[in-house]
Amino acid sequence: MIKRLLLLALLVYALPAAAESLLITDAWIKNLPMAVPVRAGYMHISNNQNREVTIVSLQSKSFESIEIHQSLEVNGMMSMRPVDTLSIPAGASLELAPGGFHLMMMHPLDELIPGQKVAVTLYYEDQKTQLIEMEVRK
Amino acid sequence: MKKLPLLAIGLVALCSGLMISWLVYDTRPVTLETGQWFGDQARVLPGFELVDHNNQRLDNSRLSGKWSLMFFGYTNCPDICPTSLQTLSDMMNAIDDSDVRKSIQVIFVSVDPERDSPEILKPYVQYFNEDFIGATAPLSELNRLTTVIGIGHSRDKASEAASNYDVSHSSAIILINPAVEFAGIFGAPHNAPAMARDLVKIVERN
Repeated sequence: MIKRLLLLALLVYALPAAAESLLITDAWIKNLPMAVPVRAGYMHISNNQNREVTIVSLQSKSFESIEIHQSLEVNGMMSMRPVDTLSIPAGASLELAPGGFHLMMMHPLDELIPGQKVAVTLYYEDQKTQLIEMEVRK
Repeated sequence: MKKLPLLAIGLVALCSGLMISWLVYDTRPVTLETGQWFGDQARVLPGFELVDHNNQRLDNSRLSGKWSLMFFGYTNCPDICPTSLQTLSDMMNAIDDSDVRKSIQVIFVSVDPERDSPEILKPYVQYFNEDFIGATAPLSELNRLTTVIGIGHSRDKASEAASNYDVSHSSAIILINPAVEFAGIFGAPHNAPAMARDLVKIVERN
């Protein structure tokens, strides 16, 4: 009986830790011919926690490196600026979408096929990690 | 009493003239949903010479007789350029009339000639549409064209490595008419269905 209670207590404490991550939906990569060394990655991020969550880096075995960038339009001129970290306030959402924030995924190591799922790891400021899948789209 | 027949003839002549001119010349100004039409402010482009994705010369003569849509960017641009080219591809697919489609050509001009050779441009533009044309030229030659049509572009000094730089560039899509005049401009954000309707209107009315 006590063992079961202890196990239950462990589970109750473990659950919040498992839930301490962002809700990532509609994560996709815009594909391009293999000759082009970059791809853009997009996703919808929701922070359902009661504290700010900060993504500090991303990695994938399918790409040499991943950076976060923001496209900006000033007086009709488009440019990009690198973004070091992405902080999503408690209860807030952030959209990585064409024309705005996006992932710059550098040097795909193999040809990507539309429909393929690419594994990407998110690294948080609090040392936690989260594995997501991004769908390759034409 | 003699004046009446003269008046009648005069009125008939006036009406006929107006009808003929209405039939022959559509004098309504072209109003675009998603762009600006220059009308009689359209100016002939200066002479320029680019190289296309097949290593062929692309100059003013290649623009003659067609409606050309020109977008300026670079292939190492992950977000804006693929998005804009995808929009242009969607726009072409949204035009049902094949005669209208055949009278339009889309040209992607790279403002990054150092990295974007014809060999890189070919698979890039054809990824979006097999009829799209890619082109580039040395910066001095590019500028002969871009300065006249108000297209800005500059290599970002903030980029770190020599081979890993970004290029800032205008987001506008330029419209050139069959007389090789700068005839209009489509500003960002670009909307494929709206642009398709605008192009149909432009081609059918001219």
